[in-house]
Order: sequence, then structure tokens, then C-alpha cells
Amino acid sequence: MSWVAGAERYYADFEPVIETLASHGLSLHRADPSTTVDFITDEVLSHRLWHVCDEAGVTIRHVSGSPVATEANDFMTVIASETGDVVFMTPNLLYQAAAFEPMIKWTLINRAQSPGIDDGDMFLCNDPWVGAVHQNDVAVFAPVFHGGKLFCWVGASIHEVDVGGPAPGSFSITARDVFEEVPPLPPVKIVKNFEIQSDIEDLYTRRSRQPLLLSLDLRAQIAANNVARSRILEAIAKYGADTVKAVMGRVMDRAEAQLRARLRELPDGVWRHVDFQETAFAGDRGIYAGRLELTKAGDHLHFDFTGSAAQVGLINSATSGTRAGVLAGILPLLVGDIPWALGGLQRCIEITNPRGTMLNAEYPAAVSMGSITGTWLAHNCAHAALSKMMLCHPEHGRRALSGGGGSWPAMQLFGWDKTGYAFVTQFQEANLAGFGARSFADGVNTAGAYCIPSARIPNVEATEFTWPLLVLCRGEAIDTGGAGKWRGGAGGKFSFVLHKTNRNFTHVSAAFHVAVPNGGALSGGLPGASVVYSMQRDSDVLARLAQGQIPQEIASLSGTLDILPPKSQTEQGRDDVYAITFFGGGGYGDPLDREPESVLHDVAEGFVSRTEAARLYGVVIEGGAVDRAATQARRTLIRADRLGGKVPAARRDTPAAVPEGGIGLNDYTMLASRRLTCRCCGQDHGPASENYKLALVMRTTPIADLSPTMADPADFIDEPVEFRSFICPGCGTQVETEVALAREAPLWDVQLVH
Amino acid sequence: MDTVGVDTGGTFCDLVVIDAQGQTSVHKSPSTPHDNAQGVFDVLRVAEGVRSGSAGTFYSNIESFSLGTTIATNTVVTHTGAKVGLITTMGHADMISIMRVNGRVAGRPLSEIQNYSITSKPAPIIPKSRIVELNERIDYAGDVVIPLKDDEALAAIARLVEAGVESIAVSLLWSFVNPAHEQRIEALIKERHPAIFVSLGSSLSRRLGEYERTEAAVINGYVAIEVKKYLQKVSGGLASSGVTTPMLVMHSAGGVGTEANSSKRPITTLFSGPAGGVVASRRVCEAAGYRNVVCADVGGTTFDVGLIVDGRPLIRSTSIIDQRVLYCPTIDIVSIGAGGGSIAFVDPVTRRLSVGPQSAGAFPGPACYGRGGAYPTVTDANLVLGYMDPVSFLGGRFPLDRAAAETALATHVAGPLGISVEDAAIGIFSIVNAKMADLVRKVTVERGHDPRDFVLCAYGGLGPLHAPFYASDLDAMAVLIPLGEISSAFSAYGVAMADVLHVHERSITLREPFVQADIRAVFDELVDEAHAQLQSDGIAARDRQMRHFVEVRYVGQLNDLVVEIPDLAIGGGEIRGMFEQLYVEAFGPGAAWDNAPIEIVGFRLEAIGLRNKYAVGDQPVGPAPAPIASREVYWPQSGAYVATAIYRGGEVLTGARIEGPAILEYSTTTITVPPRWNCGVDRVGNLILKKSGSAS
Repeated sequence: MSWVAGAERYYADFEPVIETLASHGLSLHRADPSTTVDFITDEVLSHRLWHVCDEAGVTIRHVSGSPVATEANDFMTVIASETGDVVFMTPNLLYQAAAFEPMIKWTLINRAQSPGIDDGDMFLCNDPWVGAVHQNDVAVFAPVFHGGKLFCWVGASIHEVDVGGPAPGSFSITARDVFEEVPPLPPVKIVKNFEIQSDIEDLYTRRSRQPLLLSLDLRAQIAANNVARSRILEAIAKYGADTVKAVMGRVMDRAEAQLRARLRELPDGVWRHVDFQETAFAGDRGIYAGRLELTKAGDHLHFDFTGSAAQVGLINSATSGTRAGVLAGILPLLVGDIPWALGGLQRCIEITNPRGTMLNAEYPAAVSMGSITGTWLAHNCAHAALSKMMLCHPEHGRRALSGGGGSWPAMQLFGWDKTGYAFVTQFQEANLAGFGARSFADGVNTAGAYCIPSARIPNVEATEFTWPLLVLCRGEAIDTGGAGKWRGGAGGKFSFVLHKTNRNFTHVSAAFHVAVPNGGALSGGLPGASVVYSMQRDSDVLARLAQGQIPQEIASLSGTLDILPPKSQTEQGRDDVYAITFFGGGGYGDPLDREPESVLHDVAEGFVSRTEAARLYGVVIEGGAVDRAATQARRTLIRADRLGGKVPAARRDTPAAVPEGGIGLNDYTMLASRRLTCRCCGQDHGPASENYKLALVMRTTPIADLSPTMADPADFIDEPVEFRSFICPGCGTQVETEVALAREAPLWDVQLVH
Repeated sequence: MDTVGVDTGGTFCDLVVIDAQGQTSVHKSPSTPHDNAQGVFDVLRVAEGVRSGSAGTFYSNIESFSLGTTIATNTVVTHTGAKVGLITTMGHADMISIMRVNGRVAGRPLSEIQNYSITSKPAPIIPKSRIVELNERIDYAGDVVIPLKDDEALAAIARLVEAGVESIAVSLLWSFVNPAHEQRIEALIKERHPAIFVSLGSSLSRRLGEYERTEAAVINGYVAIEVKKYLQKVSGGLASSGVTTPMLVMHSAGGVGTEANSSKRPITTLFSGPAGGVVASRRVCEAAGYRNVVCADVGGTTFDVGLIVDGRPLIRSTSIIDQRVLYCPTIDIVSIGAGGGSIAFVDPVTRRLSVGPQSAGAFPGPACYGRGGAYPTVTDANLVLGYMDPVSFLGGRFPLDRAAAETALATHVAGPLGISVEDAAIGIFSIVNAKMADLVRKVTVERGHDPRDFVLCAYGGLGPLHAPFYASDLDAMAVLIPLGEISSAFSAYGVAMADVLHVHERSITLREPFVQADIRAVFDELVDEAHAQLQSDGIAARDRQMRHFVEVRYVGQLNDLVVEIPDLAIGGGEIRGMFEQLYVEAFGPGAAWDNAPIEIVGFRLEAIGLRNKYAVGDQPVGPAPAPIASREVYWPQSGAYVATAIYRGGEVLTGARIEGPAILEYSTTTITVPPRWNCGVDRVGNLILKKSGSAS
């Protein structure tokens, strides 16, 4: 329970009661079950309404002044039912779509009587307990009235770079609770009778370091809602309100039916994933586990986060944020080819998320970084568990992806622009994460974050035009993609100095998976490299530039290297070089199964170093070509080494087919006749009723040895963490990998009902 | 003397001849993907056979010959271009593999964007080993931070030459502000290796954005050799046939250029075909008195929409090819997968009927083609509903199999939905029309316009058939089928008629209050550039026209609106007024922002070289046409099959007026006149369809 009396009212987990609303004079337009819609009108209107939602999104992109919205697509537009069920959303920042339902429901319950919900009104909200993912995600939503009844809602939200609070960018890395970050705004009537309420606008923008930007974006949101509202009213005029409402219902019903059908094709079972956040606040040395148990039974999914770490520091989400992370995990993987009607899809989904944890923090916990802490962690867990679930089906397994960017490496920069005004920016380069590998192909290099289907980063010239920086390097980084039969996508790198300014700039950094890698690599693949924030201080960079060189490696500079901790605030002066390496994607499959020619190609293209080619992939390159015999010998040696020197059993070139009635868990393990066996050598991996990992050889590797850029966790956290690989005792194949607290037993990640 | 335009498409090579009186004829022959030039010679021979009453004069009569080509596009899509090397700024080689991250999904449909595991970036066309970085640097102000060193540049060039490159792209940061380093490197390459093709980012675009500029330089270098070879082959063939006029080549911005200029900047030939259709629409609709036109092209797989606003085709600065985004001024055309070959299917779970974007393509094509296509398509539905005649398709050379269409509809749509084959066809027809309406609405509304202010110019094989159906959904002013039969080869007509057009741009930022002299100074430079370019095209000074535009936004915004400056003498306040008016039109009254300053972020000059001597020719008034037959056709407006008069298209001449329901059949296209619609023919031969009772 919250220690703030009265906080309970802001938890958005109630259903509005229609009769109560009526007593406040608010009448809802409800679906008439007797309405029939022919299949043509159904399809035509579904398509049209989706376009309406998309058009609202295009409006945001045109009007907004925020690079976060227009470049990285960190915004969302939705059309929701009269009670807030999301019917249409756009492929922009996925987390923000989930926020509307609780916010609209809360508004119905708490605003119908006073100040009232009327035609021409719009509400603004960024309260995480009411539904926002964090305070920076500001939603503006509007009721659409027809014939005096509330027909539906339209909404537009944008991630604002700064909404106020103690820290530039509104990410307070020292906050102990929400009173030390920007106070949330529960739904307030920002537009009344089609007019912006200037007092409310000022209340909202006055607290920000960038009030003009908030005002501009507010207009973008209002314009988007206006566009959607008028187009919906046009559709109602043409087709009738009951027909439009019936089609909205059918869009949700269809999405639900398609998801249920897909779930019935998948085997029943339980999939588990544990993911970690480190450093709950600046200076903290703790590590905190989020735990997910996903149960799939028939056509139903149950996500249970029981057992996750208690709320702590500022790495928390309210429950809406965790729900947003789960839905973001489902959308582009499990239902990538099914319309994203959240209101229908979520009828197949149940989430258990006890209060008081970092995934369902009680007011007044610090939550300003919710989207990149608890929400992201819930997304990582959902993504990994769903991917492993889909791998248990031969066709849907092609939808799975190994883990990608383990977090959003926030890079807030506070400084002075060329006109002498202060600015805050959030670098979109954080999107330079590699995608995880697939079961049939490599991960995409520098591909973006999983929560943004279509991210884009600005040109370097646009960055240098706006801010006084000189970018030394923006590229793809070697040895960042997780090793595997299919390699994870390479992450990026980015470094800059200040240019033509005499002032120092302030950086606020916040990420997790800095100290420990992102697990979730599939089928024995290795995790991608973690993010590394660094500052080379008091260097000779200016002298080197004057000599005509553009330094690419900070190691080549004089001065002192400062590796920044997962949550930090620091200054950059004229002799300092800021340099960051981004997440690589996780690999898929045992790296020893990668085609040697592909490794050679990776070496030639600068994705894998020769050293790592030999160490991780067992590929020996001589004179620009693969030495096949030496490679074969080296790979056998590595397998033997995994088995403690034992000669590995003979191995099939391609995994054995799964027999009728059996289930392939991934490339290497299958379930048949209630037992798990190796698909490469036939070795028994124990009964299905037990954790198969216990039947495998477990090897641990120090995390710092995983890749050349990986930090030693001990630099940042106290609790020992291990990287574990699980080896088939027969043939020495690396069947599975995990990142775990050293004190914990291997996780039973796939438990099929058979 | 004749004006000839050729457009090479995926299935057919179209040729249009326009004579001195403005009279036109259209000719077609199959495309020849194995040897693109052959298709051009083939269709020339077809035209020669038809037209040469007195043998031997066809080629010598050609006064103007323009070519629209897909060679550059095909070279990129099939990855068959030159071996290119890239020289760029230290630290930025990977920009073309990072592709601003968005390369994974750029230009892809929503169905792919939402489905992560099926998306990838395109395979690189330059391996990292053929990219060399130099220690040189210019900053945003154009100041040299690190000077270019000749010895380092020479070493880079030597390395690429050793790697066997045929073409070098040079693209450095901030070269659009200060191109000195790029120009020096070009000089160094030319001195030592004159045979190597060089593309400079700063020569191709003077816009901010190193990725799109570099992609332009790389693609330009990649397609250069293929384009040059092809153009030489066609022009050589023309010359040896006795054509004396120099060949012109269609560009994506909607103008033509000389062979020499096109070979030097071959990316300008990307997307030249679709541009032809928009250019043709502009000429024809202008002659018919329409200034605002939706150009709608329905082909076998796609539905393409472009806009003409106030008599001018909209041009955008970027193009997307193969998920690569590059600076290349292009007529703004938006496509969706909705055409004759679009496949209809029923989702087994939800029983929802969808149409497209999957397409049966040219082969096997729709089920009614009888070439093994099992799935029902839009064309199959059109056939079953009676819009198309199975016997007279393509002049009777290609009979359609109605039974195969019915079987496909029954198996894949009617059966699963438990409805009749006719109802299935009605469903497909209505859904594809609604998708077309949605795209037209999206394209107009997103650009700040109201579709009710536009006439819909419908062309392409199936354009005229579907147009009246989705036009009523949009309340468009009228449907115009340009020049009857010519509408099926309309791009070739546009290629023939196109003027010379070059787009000159600068990314330069000016903030309010605007000083008129500053604006003038930028345009003076652009105008000088334009005159030099038009001079090299051989355009006389009296035939040159310049249109001036600025890109304007509120300070802090990232997207801008393009504002035309009709008169360079106008003041800064007027620019604000024009911007605000456009802004409110585009985003509604709530979006305007009274107190915020605005800024100009770019300048654009469209330089036109007029070269068309002929107006669209008047047609004599013909006799009132009589129907040649009657058949049962389904009309959604009546909700039933109705006995419908069938006319031979060639007999519906200027002055004719036909009341719907009626169908006009041509050998290459079909025009539908629904009930309560009428069709008139204007003085140049356009068919104008309107709802009966609407203002004429």
C-alpha cells in the first residue's frame, strides 16, 4: 500500500460504470448487438478507420518540433472505443499505445462529473499511475461525440524530451521518490469547447526547460486529434454510427480470434525468463531481477511477474508500464501479421503483477525513467519467453528473434545552442542497436530498438547544425553482434567533441545491461555486446585535430579514460571526448555451427575480429581464406574442451527431424515420447518433467570474457553474476545459454506440457 | 514532323507518335528484359509498319524522340551495377550501411514493418573494403577544420583503383556548404584515371543530409555504366535508322534531358516511367481546363497516385529505391499493391475477405488468363461482373477464360464465405475500389488538399474501369480519361510531351525577419546555375521559365512546407502569410502558432526549358456513336446486373454524349459509365465522366 494517503484513487484498475456516468449526464454510444454489417462494408470501413489513425500519426510528424517524435517515431496515435479499448494504433512507439486504455477509463470515472466530458474537450495526462509509461510520455486524448453521445476516443501521445523536474531531460538519476522528479499530471482538461485553455497550457509548459517545444507539440497532438475526430464523424455520416461501432467491435473480435487460433497451434507449456537491472540510482551497486513465468494453455497466455524485485531507486514502472512492455513483446513477434487491435488481442492475455515491485511500483516511487527501466525489462522478459515459445513450432519459430538492445542507453545532453539558449536533447543514436539473430538468418545490423518498428536517426549534419558538436565517428562496431550459427546484428558506435563553444556541457546517462549482458539469445547463441559509455578526459584531441587527424579510437588519445557507470551525470569540456558503443543483438545457435565462409565475410567487413573468429567460432583464416581442415580440427577441439577433454560423439550435419507428435524446442533439442533428446547426436537430455539443463554440462564464463568490449560486472555491482552455457554431454553442442545470479540454479526456461 | 515518346515498362514497350497537328497514335510490343534496347527497336518497327504509308519516311520524320527507361531502376533492384568505390570523411564510412537505422523498413508496406523477423536491410552494393575514409573535415559553417591532403587522397584513389573500381563516389560531410574538398578529389581522379566515372555528392545535391546525398552519389556511380551503355545503344540504333534529332531521356522530376546530361547524372532517370504519366496528365488536363488533378494509374500490380496542384506536379526531394533513400528530385508518386493482378483471399480464422497486396503478377497472372493462376484476382472479378469482355480483350488476341475466373472465385472466396460467385466478385471489386479511394484521400489530405477540388485523371490498363467507382466515394469533381485509347500508354505520351526540367536546391537557413536581398542572393545563384544547365541542353533563353520555392517551417520544427514565391520582390511578411495559409489548410485551425517565429530552411528552383511546339490537337466532332452490343453487367449503383450498352471506344468521338450504364471497349482498355453517370468527349478527345445532374 502507498504511504501517501489518498494515492489509491490514481490507480487505474477500475472499470467505469455506465450507470454512474449516466447520472453525471454522460451518455455513451454503445454497440447495438443487432447491427448487421455486410462483409464488404466491414472490410472497407476497417481499412478506412485504420487510415484515419495513420493520418493522425502523419499529422504529428508534420507539426511536431521534436526530433524524438519526427525522427525516432517516439509517439503514438490511437482510436479507442467509448470505454477506452484501443481499436487502432500506428506502428510508432509501441509502449505508448497501451497507456490510453487505463487513462481513458480513469478519465471516465473521475472527470465525468467534474469538470465534465463534453464535445470539443481534450484531456492531457502524463501520470504513470493513471496509465502513462512515464512522465515524459504526454498523452492528449479527446472524446468524439455523435448525437449527444460519447461515441469513441482518439488520442495522440509524444515523448517529450523535457517536462521539467530536477534533471535536464526529466530523468532524475538520484531521485528517491516521485517528489524528487517531475510531479505527474493526472488528466486535465487542456482543450475545452475546441479552445486551448491557456491557464492549463501554462501550468503544463511552465515547468519545462523547453516550454516552446511543449507548446508546439501540444498543437501537433491537438491537430492529430482534430483530424481523427473529423474523419470519424465523416464515416459516421456516411455509414451510420451503429455500423461504424459494429466494425470497430469486429476489428477487435477478429484480432482476438486470429491470436487465439495461433495460440492453439502452439504447444502448451511454461516459458520462463529472468532479466536484470543494475544500479537502482546513481552510486548504487545492486542488481535487481525481474522474473516472468509465461504459461500458454490452449488459446490463452498468462504472464506472471511474481517474484520480481521490490521497488527500488528510480528503476521502477507503474503497472501500466509493465503491461505496455508485455504488449510490445507480443505485437511484432506473435501477431506481426495480425491487425494490432489491442482491445481484442488483450482478451487472450492475463497479467499477474503484484504491487510493490519494480514492475508495479506503489506511489510515490520514482518512475520518471519507467519506459527505459521497468517497462523495458518487462519487454525483454516477454520477448525472450515468447520467442522460446514460438521456437517450439516449426513455422512460427521463424518469427522468433534473439534478444536485441538490452535497454535504451539514454544520452541526455544539456548545453547551449548557437543562439545562446539552453537546450536539452536526447540522442536518437541509442537506436544503433543490432537486432537479434533469427532461426534462419543473421540479425540486422544497427537496426533499432524493438519497441519502435520504424525508427530513424538524424543525419550527423543535422546534429552538428543544431548543436555545437563535431562528430568524430558514427559507425558499426566490431565484435558487438552476439556469436551464433546466425550472428546477432552489430551495434553502433558514436563519439564527438564540443565545437565552437566555450562552455561545458552536461551529460545524463541511464541504461541497464551495462554491467551484465542481455540474456535471451536463442538456441545456444551468445548475447550481444553491452553498451559502454565512456569519456576520455583531458585528452590531446584538439592537438590531434590540428595535426590533421580525426581520432577514431579513444585509446589512441592521451588523458584518462572514464568508463561511466550505468546511471551517471557528468560534464564534458573542450578537451574531453564522449564515446559510446551500443548494444549488439544476440546470436542464434551454437557459434561452431556458423558457416566458416560467413565468418570470413564478417571478418572482411569488420563485424568480427580475427581473434574472435578463432576463439568464438573456431574459424581459422589463412591468407584471406578459410583453412577448412584447421577450422574443422579447431571446432572439434573446442567441443572436446567444453566436455572437459572428452572426445565428442559423432554429430549429424543437420539436426534430426522431429518425429510425428514430437516437438522441436530449437535447433538442438526435441521432445518425443516424454523425453528430451539431442537432435545432433541422439543423447538423452532427461524426462520432460524435469529441467533439461540439469542433464547438460554447465560451463560458466566470466562475463568480461564474453566480448572484447564487455565490462567486468564487479566494476559496477557487488553480487556475482555468471554467464552459463549448457552443453550436450554427447556431442559437445552448445544447446542453450543464460545470464544468471551465481547463487541461483539454472532456470527451467522451457517446460512443455506433454 | 513527328514527336515520339517511348516508355519501357515491365510487360510492354509503349510508343506514342504525335504529329504536327497534335494527332496521336499508340503502338505496343512486348518488353525484352534480356536486352532492354531491343524492345525499343521492336516497338519502333511496329510503329513504322503501321505508319509508313510511304516507306522509309518514318524515321526521318521524327523531329523529337524521348525515351523513358527503367534501366537504372532495374540495375539497382537486380544488383547488376558497376563496381563502385566510395571516398568519404573519416569516421563516417558506415553511414551507407547504417542507413539512418531506417533502411530495414524504408519504403516497405505496413504488413512488413509490423513483422520484424521478415525485415532486413538490402545487401550492400559497396563492401566496406571499397570505402576509404580521409582525414579531412569541414564544419556546418563551411569552415575547414582539417584540410584535405592530396597525398592521402591519392593513396585512397590508388587503393580503389587497385581494387578494380569502375566508378568512384565522393561524398564528404558538409560538402553541400563547401564542395572544395570533393572537387579537389574529383580533379585528382580525373588527372590520373580519366576513364573512371566520378560522382560527387555536392554535384548531385546541395541539401543537408549526408546519408541521402551519399546514397545519391553511390547509386549514381552504380548505375552509370549500364545507363550509358543502354543510351548509347538506343541512340546509335536510332541514328543508323535515319533519325537525325538527338535523343532525349525522361527524368524522375518530370522533365527530359539530353543523352549527355543523363549519362552524367544517371540517377535522374530512376522512376522516369511513372513520372511520364503525371507529366501527360498535366498537359492534357491543362488543355481541358483543370488545374488540380489526381493522377491515378492502375496497372497489373500497383495503383500509383500523383498530384498536380495549381497546374504543377508536386516534386519531392527524396526517392526510395530498394530501401535506400537518396536525394533525387522526383515527382511525388505514392503506390500501393492494388492492381488487376491483386489476389483476393479469405482468412481461414476470421473469414475476412482481403484484396492484395499479393499479386499474381504478369505470370501466371489472373486465373482468367488461363496460364495456371489458381487464385482469384481483381481482373477475374471484373470479368465475372461483366465489365470486361472475354472475347475482345487486347483486340481479341488474348481471349479470357471466364470459367477459370469463376472456379477461382468459387474455390477461394465464395466457398469459404458461403456466398455466390457473383457476390464474391462484387466484394472484391468494392474492396479494391475502396482501397483506391483511401489512397487517393491519403495522398490529397496528407498534402493539405481536399479531393473534392480535384479532377481524377485515370489511366493505365485498368485505370478507366475502376475510376468512376472510387471517384464517387471521394466526391471528385469529375473523372477524365485522357485521350481515349492513349490512356493505356499514357506514360509514353508524357515522355513525348515533356519539357526539359531541372531542380536546383540549396539548404540554407534564414530566420525571421527575412531580408529580401538575402533571399534574392540565393536565388540569383540558383538561376545562374539553371541558365548554364539549360544552355547545355540547347534551350534558347526565350524558352526558359523559372519557378521559385522556399521550404518554410516554425523554428524548432523538423518538417517544412514548400511555399512558392511568385515574385522575388515580395517581402518577408508575405512569406509568413503564405506559409500560415498553407499551414492552416494542411493541419487545421487549431494547429497554427501565432507567436512562433518561422524560418526558411531550403531554396528550390524549378528550371523549365519549353520545347513543345504542339498543343494537344483538336479532334473533329464525330457522329453520335451507336452501341455495338448489349450485355449483362453488374452495377453496384443499381445493386443488380443490368442490360448494358457496349460501345466501340474508337467510335466515341468529340461531341459524343453517352448516358450510363454503358461500357466503352478499346483494344487495350475499358471505360465504365455507371448508371446515373454520363460520359462526354471534349474537343481534344478526353472522355469526361460525371454524375448526371452535377454541374458541367
